[in-house]
Amino acid sequence: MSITLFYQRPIHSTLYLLLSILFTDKLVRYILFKFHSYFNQHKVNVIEAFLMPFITLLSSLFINIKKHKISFEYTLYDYYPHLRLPYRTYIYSNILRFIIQSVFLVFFKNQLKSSSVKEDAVNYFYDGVSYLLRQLRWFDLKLGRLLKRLLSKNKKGPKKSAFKTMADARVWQNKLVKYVILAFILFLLAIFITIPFSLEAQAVFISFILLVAYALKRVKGQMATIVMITLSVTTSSRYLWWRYTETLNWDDPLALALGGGLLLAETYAWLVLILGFFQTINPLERKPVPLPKNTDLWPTVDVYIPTYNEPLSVVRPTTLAALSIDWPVDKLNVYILDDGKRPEFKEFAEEIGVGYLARSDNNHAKAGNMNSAMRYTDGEYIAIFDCDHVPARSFLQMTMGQFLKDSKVCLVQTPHHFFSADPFERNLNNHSQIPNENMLFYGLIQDGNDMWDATFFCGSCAVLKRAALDDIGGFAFETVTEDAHTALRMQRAGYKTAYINIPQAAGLATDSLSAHIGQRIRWARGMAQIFRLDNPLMGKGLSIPQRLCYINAMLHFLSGIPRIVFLTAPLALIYFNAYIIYAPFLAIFIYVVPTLIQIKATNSRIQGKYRYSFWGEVYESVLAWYILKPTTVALFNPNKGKFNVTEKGGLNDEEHYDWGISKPYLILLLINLLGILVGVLRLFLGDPSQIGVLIISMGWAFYNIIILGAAVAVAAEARQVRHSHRIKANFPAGVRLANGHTLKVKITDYSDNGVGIETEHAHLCRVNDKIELLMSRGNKQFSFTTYVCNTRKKQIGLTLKDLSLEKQRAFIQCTFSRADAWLDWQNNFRHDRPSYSFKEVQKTSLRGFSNLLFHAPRALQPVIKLMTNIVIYINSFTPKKPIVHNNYD
Amino acid sequence: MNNLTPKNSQTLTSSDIENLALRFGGKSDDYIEIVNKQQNNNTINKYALLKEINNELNT
Amino acid sequence: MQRVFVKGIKGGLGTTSVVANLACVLKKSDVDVIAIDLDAKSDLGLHFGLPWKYTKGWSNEASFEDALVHFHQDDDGIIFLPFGDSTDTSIDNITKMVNRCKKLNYSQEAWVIFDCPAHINLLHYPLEKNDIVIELVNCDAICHSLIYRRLQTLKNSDTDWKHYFLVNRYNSASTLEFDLFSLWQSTLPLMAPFFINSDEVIKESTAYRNVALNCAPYSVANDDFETLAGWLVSKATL
Repeated sequence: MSITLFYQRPIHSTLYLLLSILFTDKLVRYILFKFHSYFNQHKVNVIEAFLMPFITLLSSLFINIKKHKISFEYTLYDYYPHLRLPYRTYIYSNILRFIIQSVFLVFFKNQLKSSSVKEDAVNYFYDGVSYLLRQLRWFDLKLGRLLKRLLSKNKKGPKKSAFKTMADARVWQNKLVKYVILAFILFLLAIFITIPFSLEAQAVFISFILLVAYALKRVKGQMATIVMITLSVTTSSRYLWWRYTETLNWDDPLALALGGGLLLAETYAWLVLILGFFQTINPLERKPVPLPKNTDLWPTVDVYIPTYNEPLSVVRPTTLAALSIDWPVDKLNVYILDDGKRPEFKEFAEEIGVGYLARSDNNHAKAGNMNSAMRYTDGEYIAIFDCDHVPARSFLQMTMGQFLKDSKVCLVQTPHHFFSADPFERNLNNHSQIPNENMLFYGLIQDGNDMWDATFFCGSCAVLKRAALDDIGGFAFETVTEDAHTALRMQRAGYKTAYINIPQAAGLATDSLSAHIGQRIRWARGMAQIFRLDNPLMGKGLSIPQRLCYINAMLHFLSGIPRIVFLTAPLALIYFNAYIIYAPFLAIFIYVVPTLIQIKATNSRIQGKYRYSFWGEVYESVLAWYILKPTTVALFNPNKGKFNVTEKGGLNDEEHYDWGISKPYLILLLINLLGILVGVLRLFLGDPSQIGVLIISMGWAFYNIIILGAAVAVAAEARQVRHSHRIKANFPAGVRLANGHTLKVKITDYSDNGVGIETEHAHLCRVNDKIELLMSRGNKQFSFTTYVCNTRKKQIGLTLKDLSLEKQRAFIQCTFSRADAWLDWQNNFRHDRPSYSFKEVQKTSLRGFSNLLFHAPRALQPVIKLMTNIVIYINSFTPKKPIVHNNYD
Repeated sequence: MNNLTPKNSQTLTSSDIENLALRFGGKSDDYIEIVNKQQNNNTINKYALLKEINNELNT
Repeated sequence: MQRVFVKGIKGGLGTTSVVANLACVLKKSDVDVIAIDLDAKSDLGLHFGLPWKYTKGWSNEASFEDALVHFHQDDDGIIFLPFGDSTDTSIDNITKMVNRCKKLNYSQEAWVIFDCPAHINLLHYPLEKNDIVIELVNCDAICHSLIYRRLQTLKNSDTDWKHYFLVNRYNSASTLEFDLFSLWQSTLPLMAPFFINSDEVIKESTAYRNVALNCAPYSVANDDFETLAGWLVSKATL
């Protein structure tokens, strides 16, 4: 050490001298070298940089650093990746991070390639755990197999549904036996529901049920579903009994009032659940009935296409497709019922040869329109299509057979399928990834209704018997859901209805959230009106199952108040300290949580293909506020309120956030968020005995926040770029190029003036080439002149320009009207997995929040920035997964 | 002839009705492709040679 | 052995191409396929890649056993027998050949396809109950007239073979063809429910001394031949 050096680098030299007292020269040089390197190169703060070499030295006493010398640093940062980030100059926070991460690493298994002493210990621990799990799994498999054997005994017989076999079993024939057994079952159920268990007994009981439910997860088949349903009925009824008998606090009026509200909401939910099970226990899955070979025996059919203010571009494909339905020409009459009385529609009707009917007034909207049309037409049957629902060419041959087979049938309904995304799918960008909202109804519920002969008319994509309509005096017009009411009247008159679960038409979904909500408001109001004016529970002509199914449909629309109650209930405890569930925390936990799990599991099993878990809550939350008022008003005064028509075919040209619509969700969200904050405060400052219930309430509030976040996300209207909708497809076609060569292609998508095709081999077409598209309808081939508008290696986009009317019609026949055009509507969806679905809802919720922030007004931006930074800072403390290097490093 | 399986390639004549029958049961020959008698008559009347042949056959 | 007779309702409708392509598609399912040229033009061989210098065929030999030497096999494994360049093109000679081909010793699943000239009336051939006759037509008015004449002959004579009409070189972009085929599809008995699309590759492939299937496996015509082959299988009773 020279004196000159001392002057140039005073600190360094001082340190050097100090350290030389304690350590050898080599060590001192090492320490100082490392210190400089950390401080200067790696930008670590002073104290850390100074401590690091000592830590390294210390650990070298225990571990052979030399072996891992170079990798030690990397390993360190692998385990503690967040220590490298920008704020690592803050030393105290880094210490905290270090501690938290170490705790995390010790208790949670992380996969790392490099081995270390710690990891061996962790490995032993986890080997033990996995051995235990393996034993459990073996047990679970055995249980599952046992149950499978018990429940699928009749595999050999013809494929009759378990429900049917049960219902048709000979034991029911004897009335006395039937009643005795029913009474016995009810008696058993009553015992299970009402017997008071101590907490431990309840815990055992419920875990047994959950175990059975878990074991049944693997057993396919309807018998297992019936078992699950029975278990759910038992647990939910038990839960409700417990609530009524043991959890109302009669001393505290506030708690009583609020608790009573919650109890009513829960009773509503229970009622809907039970009725839902009943409704969907055995979807009928009716098969189409073939028609007689002699077409002279086929009846005459009028096709009504009612329209009011939709543009001609929407009505045109529907009319062309209706004309092309495979039915004898002399027995098929198509009529456009134009309430807008527009001359261009009249011209269009004349041009293509369909009837045009306009009336002098517009009373009673669609029902009045159709009633008026019935005076001028005389077909034996009436098929009705909304002006945007394009029918398949096989529509009539798939549906009419039911009428000919049973003359009491007055209605055959088919599913409403949408080829465009509804507001949920579009705004959340999950079209074709999760089943959309109306899939539950048309995929499952109507099919279930059909079992009980309770299918009701949905206004479109259906055929009605003229004689039955005449019998009840035409379409019902007293309510705004004239379709359901008409079906109800026909059923009261003794007719039967049928549902064919094959999509034979497809149309446009509502294109904005406000239009969607407007449509649901109308349905809700209409159902409430029917409830008041023509109550299905009373009056003659309906069987008990029919009454129950109609009631369930109506109850569904009364979900506004219960949903709001559920969304705000936990806040009662947090804000007002009102014990809405007057029971100890443990009891709540043991009663509520397992019952919910069991019910969710059963619902997931029954509805899994048509609706994913937790999305029902999102849909309900979106609608809750809006259907509250109309239904309440309609329940009290059914004749108030006006009919607002749903708009179809509008264009959303800019992405924006619909603040108006989302106000209710934002308010609910805000009070829940505040509730969490208040809850946190009370946790720390309040009465320690209340911590349990507080935590449960906060958990519930947190769940509500997630659901509301997803609802908020839906209000961010995405931009609709295309004017005409592109529909995905998969059917074969051909092209003939200008040089006379043909190519086999696959149609991958189409719209009303363009087609996307895919070739098997790289093609040589260029933009603006004119090629002939060869598509078939059945065994007829049509040729279309098309122009290439874009190409990629194996894909070509074609546009059709200036098609003659004949060619337009042919085009619709080959694309929209294909009998199999919509067959894949349910097939793209895997069965529901609740945990996965919940993650999706969470993701959507986060999306909702980020949308809020993104679209927030300018003034709030700094606040948001501050809050985001706070969140990021807090997040930096959370344990991170260690970095795993793959073999390419 | 046994090892010539029925065609399963996606040929141009792959029928939508067959797909429908495949998925939902029923036989595709239950479906009746409606003959457009009007258009057939139009064709015959449009072309004189066809009309003459038609007349001859129907007398 | 299933016998198939392919004949044009008049000349120049592409009969030989159809025979060659059909043979190729049938061969794909690994059965024996034998194509016999009964047309004096003797061009079937060229479709199978026979070198132009080979001009001899079965007509140059007196006995069937001698004619065996003229059997060739192409790259796909199809066995074919050219007509040859003999000047004796009498109907008798040709029709006798059909009977002599019965002596061929192939399995039951084998196909024997005869390329028949348009000018020889089918009634001259010793057709039997299980034979399939495909009469090729184009979608035009002349063929329409010829079809009806043929139907009248078939009605008046005592025929028991399976007779079908097949549209070749179909172009749906042509109004006449489209209208006519719609008419035939719905009114004519014996009309095959499909057609062979007009495709340039069928012409081109012969220039390349090959068949369409090998030259353009992704063409629509290829699909059509596969449909034809599948349909023939369903019609065959053996």
